[in-house]
Amino acid sequence: MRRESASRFLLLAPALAILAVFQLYPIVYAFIISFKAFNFLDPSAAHWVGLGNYVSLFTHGSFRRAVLNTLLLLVTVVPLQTIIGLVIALLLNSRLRAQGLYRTLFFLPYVTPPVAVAAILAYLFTLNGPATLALVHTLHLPNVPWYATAPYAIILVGLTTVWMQAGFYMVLYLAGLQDIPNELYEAARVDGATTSQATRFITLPMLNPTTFLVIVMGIIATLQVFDVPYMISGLGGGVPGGPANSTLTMVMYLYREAFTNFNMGHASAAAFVVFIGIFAFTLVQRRLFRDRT
Amino acid sequence: MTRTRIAQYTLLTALAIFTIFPFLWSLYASFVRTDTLLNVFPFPGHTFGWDNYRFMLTQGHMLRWYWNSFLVTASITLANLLINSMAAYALARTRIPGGRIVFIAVIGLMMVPPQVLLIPIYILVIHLGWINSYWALIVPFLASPFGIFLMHQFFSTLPRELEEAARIDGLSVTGLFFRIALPLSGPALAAQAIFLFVWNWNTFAYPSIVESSAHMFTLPVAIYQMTHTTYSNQVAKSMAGIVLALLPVVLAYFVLQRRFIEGIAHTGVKG
Repeated sequence: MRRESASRFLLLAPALAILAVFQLYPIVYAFIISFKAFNFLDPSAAHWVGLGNYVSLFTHGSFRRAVLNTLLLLVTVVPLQTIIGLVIALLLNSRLRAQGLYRTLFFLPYVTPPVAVAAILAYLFTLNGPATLALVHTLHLPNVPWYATAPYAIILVGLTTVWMQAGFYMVLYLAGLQDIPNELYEAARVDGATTSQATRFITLPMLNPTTFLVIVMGIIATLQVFDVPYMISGLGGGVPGGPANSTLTMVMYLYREAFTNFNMGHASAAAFVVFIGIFAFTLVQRRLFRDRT
Repeated sequence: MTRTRIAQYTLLTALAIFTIFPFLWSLYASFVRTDTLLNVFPFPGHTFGWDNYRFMLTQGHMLRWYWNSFLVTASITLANLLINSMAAYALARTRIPGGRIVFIAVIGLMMVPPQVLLIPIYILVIHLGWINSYWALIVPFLASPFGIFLMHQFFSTLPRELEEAARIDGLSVTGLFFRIALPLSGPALAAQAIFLFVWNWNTFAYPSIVESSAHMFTLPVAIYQMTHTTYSNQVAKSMAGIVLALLPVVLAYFVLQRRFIEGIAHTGVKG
């Protein structure tokens, strides 16, 4: 029996060791230094500042701007990708030929590296870029490099994010659609309902839990946005987050504070603010997921 | 074909073109010859050739970057499959003392966004002397709370009778895991492998801070380097680099599309 419990522990030990050293300890460490003035270039001068880092975040104009930009992305990207994901899923749900091919194509951007995707889209929207020119001719927008021009840079960030993620939410919706019992539609047909009525009174209400999940997941993902704006705003020699902080997100702010300015304490405080936001929505997501199974 | 069907196909095809166009355009741009011209659109001259690809594969570090990305992603994925499954088995199928607390801690860690870990892991990696090494890219990610949770849920569904029978035949806990549980977990392992592969292949923020010399870059960091520094004035060259970097993941995706979509969608929701 002694040997048994030893081998049980051996199965658990490698994971425990890795998680303790590279996740648990770092989180505690980050939490502690978020209450310190800690400049990485001069660690010996580190000292306690209490809530100072958290307070100074909100007096920092660029952090407020980062929060604002992140919220702006939240209220535009999340609804847009939810609607697109839903529309595509509805279009695909009726037994179409080539349904699998369409599904594969729509999901493709989600598996490709965000950094690559952001670069490709940024070049589409550069000076004289094909997308820029198309919008010059149709909507009379100016012929400018979008990645370096406010407010187009943040719009490009939003568009890229939607383009990249919509396919993922489409798949969630397709799964949700499959859970709707067929009998409901048969009953509706017997009662003489049209297709659009069935969609409105059966499909959409039955998809409510999926929509909720899609929105919560969208919010969590958007709060973490980093790769795309970092890539896009830095093109052509620009400062990441620019022009004039117009694409600075919360995670970009903490990255800049930590790895450009080396204010690890201040940056950790920013990280925990992001964490609290994400944590709240993650709890909602976990509850949702438990309800569904 | 009814009218609604036609409208349906038209709309879907339009959306599909929007989805696929940037990829096709990057492919097109990567073949534009750039002996002299810079990022001038539309590309004047419009001569096409393999020059950019030849250049990328012979001049720069492209092969090295492929190797880095492959080595890092493969080691993390394989190690996770084993380490997470072992831990999950111990937690789900044996009454290990303190197991309940460990499992709750694992779920707690799942909720921590990776950005929070960026700063402390960076400091830790510096103290360990791992900057610009594979250690920094691999070791911190050898186990994942999400993978443990996923396997835990899977092992919890296995029927007890299998293990009881094997126990009578004298198998130990380790034997039960390797001979009974692991061989039955094919689908769960596949879903986990795909999720880990895609996530680690694409990840950018962390490798960009721990790898500063070009020969240690993974592909996403290399893409950043190419588009922002090395070939910032030569879009066509950057595009060839991007296409080369995209190729493995896109190919794997088209070969295993159903598994990819279902694996990522399901694990993504649970994670």
